Amino acid sequence: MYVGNDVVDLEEPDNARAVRRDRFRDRICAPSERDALAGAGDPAVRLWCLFAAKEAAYKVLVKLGRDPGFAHRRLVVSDAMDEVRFEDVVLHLHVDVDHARGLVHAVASTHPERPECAVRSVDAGADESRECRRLLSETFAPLLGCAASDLRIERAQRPGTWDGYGPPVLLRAGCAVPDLDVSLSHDGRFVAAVGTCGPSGRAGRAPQALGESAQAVGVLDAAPPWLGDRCGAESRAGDAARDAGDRVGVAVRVRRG
Amino acid sequence: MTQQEAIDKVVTILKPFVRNTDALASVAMETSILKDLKVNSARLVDVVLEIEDTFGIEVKDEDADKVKTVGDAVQLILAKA
Repeated sequence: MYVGNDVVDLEEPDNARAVRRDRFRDRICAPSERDALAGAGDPAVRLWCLFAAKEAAYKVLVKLGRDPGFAHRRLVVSDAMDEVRFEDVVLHLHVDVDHARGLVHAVASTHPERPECAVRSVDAGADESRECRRLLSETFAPLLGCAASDLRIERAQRPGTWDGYGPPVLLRAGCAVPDLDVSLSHDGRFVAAVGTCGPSGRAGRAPQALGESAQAVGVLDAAPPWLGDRCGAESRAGDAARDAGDRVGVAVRVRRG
Repeated sequence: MTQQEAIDKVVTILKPFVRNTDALASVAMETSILKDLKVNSARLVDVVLEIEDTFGIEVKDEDADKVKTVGDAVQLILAKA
């Protein structure tokens, strides 16, 4: 299972300015979305919901080996804001608007179940990247039964990507936490972190033999670069596949050969 | 328009959106807009719109996708303007 998220600070001055430009809207929205926007009670908030949804979906698509590029209009969000489509890929979507705090938070996932989410305000001038990582560690440490200080987030260098790095990976004792895909986001006053567990339903546990309940979530021909070198995760996925015989229920199944 | 003129105008466009002003002071063709200048993804859309307005050009999505550095933006502008 893969997850992506994006948080938008609705009170960030640049965000308030951007949304007033028709050309900004036209750059972001597919035709069906522009139609829905026209009838929305609060078009500005809806536009940021669409933007955040697409950014969240983009992060998942990259993990799936797809590259939508700078093409917001090609990612299409459903009117109900529960799905986002890119070509043949359909992702589940959860979008929250917190009017009291002035934020939008979108989470896209390959699985319908809502991932673990956390959004936090940070002080002005804070190191947003560090605060994001701290939030992720503090959110998942209790689930993993460890201290937040035992966890580390790493993004491997990946030439050709927008910022030169691949997706974040949560490490415990230097190894990727198995079955756990994570995503980070920050904007203005807020940082956000989400994570989704594999079919075992328990973060940090290697997939067991799942028998009748097994469901293959994704089958890749090669381990994505950001996963392949992480000790433990790939070999545990392979072990589970062998244990389960022909029925495989792992988040990532790497076809060898 | 010379390359330096294009660089100067691109820097002017980027300046309001840059969160790493130190990197802007030492900007070069290979300076990454997201990674080095820390322009966020929503502002990238603003940057594309400003480039279109400043230079009177259309930046298609596939062109915008290739703009990852200041140099990429400059090359795009020099090709289209």
